[in-house]
Amino acid sequence: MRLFRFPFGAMGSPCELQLYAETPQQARGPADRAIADIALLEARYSRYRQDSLLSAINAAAAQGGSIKVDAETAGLLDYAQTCYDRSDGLFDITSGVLRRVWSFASGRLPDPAELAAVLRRVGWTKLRWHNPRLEFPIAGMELDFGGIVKEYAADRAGTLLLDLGITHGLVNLGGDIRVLGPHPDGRAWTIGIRHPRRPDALLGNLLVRQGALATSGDYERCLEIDGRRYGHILDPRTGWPVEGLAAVSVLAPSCLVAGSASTIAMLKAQEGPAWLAGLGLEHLWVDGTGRIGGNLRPSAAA
Amino acid sequence: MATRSGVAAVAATRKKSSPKTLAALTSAALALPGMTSHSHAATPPTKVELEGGLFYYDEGPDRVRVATVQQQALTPVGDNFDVKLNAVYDAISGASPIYNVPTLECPGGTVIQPTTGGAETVSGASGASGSSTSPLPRPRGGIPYTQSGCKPIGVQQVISPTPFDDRRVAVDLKANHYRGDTTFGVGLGISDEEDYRSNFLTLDLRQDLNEKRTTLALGFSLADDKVMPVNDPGFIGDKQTLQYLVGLTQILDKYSITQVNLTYSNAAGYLTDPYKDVFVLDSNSVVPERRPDERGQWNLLGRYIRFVPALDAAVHLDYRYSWDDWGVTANTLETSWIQTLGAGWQATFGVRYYSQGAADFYQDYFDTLPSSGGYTSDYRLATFGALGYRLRLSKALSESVRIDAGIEYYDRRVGLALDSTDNSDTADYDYLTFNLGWKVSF
Amino acid sequence: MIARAALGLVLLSLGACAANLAPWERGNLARPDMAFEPYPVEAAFREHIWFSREGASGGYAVGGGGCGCN
Repeated sequence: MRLFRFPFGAMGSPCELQLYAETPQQARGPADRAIADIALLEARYSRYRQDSLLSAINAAAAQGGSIKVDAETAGLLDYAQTCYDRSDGLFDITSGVLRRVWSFASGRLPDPAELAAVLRRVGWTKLRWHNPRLEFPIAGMELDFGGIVKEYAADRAGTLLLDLGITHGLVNLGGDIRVLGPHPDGRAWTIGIRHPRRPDALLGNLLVRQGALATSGDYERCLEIDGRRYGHILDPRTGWPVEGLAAVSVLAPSCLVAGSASTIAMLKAQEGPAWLAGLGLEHLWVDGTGRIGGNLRPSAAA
Repeated sequence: MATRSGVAAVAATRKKSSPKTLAALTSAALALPGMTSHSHAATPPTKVELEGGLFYYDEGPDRVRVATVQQQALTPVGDNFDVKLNAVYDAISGASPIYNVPTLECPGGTVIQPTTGGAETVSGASGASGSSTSPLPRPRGGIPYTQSGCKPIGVQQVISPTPFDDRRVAVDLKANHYRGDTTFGVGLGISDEEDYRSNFLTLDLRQDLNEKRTTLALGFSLADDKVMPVNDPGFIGDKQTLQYLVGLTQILDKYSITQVNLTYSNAAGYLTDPYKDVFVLDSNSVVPERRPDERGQWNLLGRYIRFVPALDAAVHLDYRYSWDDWGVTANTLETSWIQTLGAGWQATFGVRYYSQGAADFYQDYFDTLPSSGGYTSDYRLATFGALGYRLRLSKALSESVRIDAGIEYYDRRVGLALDSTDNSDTADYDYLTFNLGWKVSF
Repeated sequence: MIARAALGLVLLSLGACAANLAPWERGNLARPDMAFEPYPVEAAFREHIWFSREGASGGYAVGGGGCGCN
């Protein structure tokens, strides 16, 4: 059994498959199929492609119309609904449109009137979702599956690879990781957690034998204005960045659940640690002062 | 300080996260296409697997010893079939018990005992009753011991003085066809030794249900046997056995799995053991045993396996209740602990308890023969209990090679039986087995 | 009577259910030591001994030939 690595780009991030197989041919076939499936998902839900399914939905949303969706999109909408419900409305896939007023390139805070206007078009409860029909009673809304599709793609790729007989390996889509199984000798994978404040350093390593690990942080893109940092994770109810945690990592059986849990915890800000404690998953959080908490402790980075 | 309008208008009911949250997210995630694997049902193997072993069975001096070698080869054929070839070679030698004789105390204090060293070999018919040589001396005046006021004060087992040496070869071929959630299997085989020949056929079906959490198994087998006893040349006994199995395997949760099997077996024809006799006190003679020409046996087996994550070990527990129309009822309880030790090592500790009640037509020896029905003194159909202990160590030399070695001690005792009985403990014995095993895949 | 008890046991085990078991949770169940028979060749040998030394036999599977085991 040898380890084969397949790096590729998808969902706007560097991705990689690490698979164990006896021969390169036995790894290549499944890898190609997994990468193709990920590309397909990206094509369907990309904000940037005019011909994507998401663009069709957002075209209907812009006009205040309605659209019928397929089973897969329905599943994603149902999942988004569940996340909205279980996060007290913090996880909201209609909040993407706020990005327009928080121009992280411009270097200035949003105009309050502008923000209020955009906020009127944000809110999951403002649309009507009854499988299979999605209705937008008010115009100008926009859906963004960014917080769901990457994790879903990682899980799908994982299941596909397991079905094809790859039982030792992992899928890494830009930091969202789905482990297929440990190294052939039973050793767990050593997964590093990026330090939220020091881009080249690690917070530590986690040993993962199976399941998925996802990390949310507000350190990737941020705005510095008058000496204050403003993260890119916005509270959909106020339109302002949340302040509390710098990073959250969650270990769950699926990447979807791990990713949503880490995102919701970030959105919960100061209440994130308590929410995570009650959830029942292994997790790790780092707050703005650098304090580390949670029931998952990384071993010191080598 | 930037204002945050709307912060005060926070949702009135703030849900604290709870196990319900995790359950809600998990089931919503599972509902998405591509999240559920399709291959947790039985899938055809993708590798060739060779598995075999060497076994040595030892009942102690002057009793039976068996050396066995077995080798199996399993190979996938195409995407949905596999074929398994299995071969076994046994070398059996030693001496077995034949019958039991009472020790008698007669009026006047005389104790009549079987001749030292056990009985003479059963020779041809002789004497007025057409019976064979007796291990007890001729009663005085020709009056049967049973009418002389003699009382039995013990029982003595008689072992054949002439050891035997036999070889057995068995080969069988099994093919499986995998079709979605269903697996069909067909098998054929033969077993051949000097005095016994068996031909058999098996059919089985396994069906995964309930999103592969449940598996239903159905099995059928037919065996056609011929007995050609070495002590009766020219005689051939025929025996047919039909077996049926229905079983259910259920995944209970991510750490445990259970199985329940019900089997029925019907054997008809020559079921007697041609090398076993009974001693008849009334006629002071040894005659060949006789068993009914039909036997229906039932087994109800429950199995449970639990993974213990904190210790990286698996516990197995089996209980089987058996009953048949010969009156034999048995309880079997077996447990084992498989401990993964790291660096490819694994140790297994096991204990097995077995208890059976005697067949209706069993007696240690007979005063007179019953007029109808069977009669046997075969120690294997008596009331007894047994305890077995075993230890096995295995090492994975690589991802594709594993070797193992094991030892087992088994102690058969009348005193261990759940049923109370006055069967003698003369037949109690114990045995030791040693085994070496290997498994290679490529 | 026994057959009815057996049927009851069978139905009970079907109903005694697994809560939603996601495919990724089956990892532990796929371990070799979680199979009912991780060492099948050795198991066959032991069952053969019990068949030739005990009054009850079977329950685990069907088939296999008879023998004159004495």
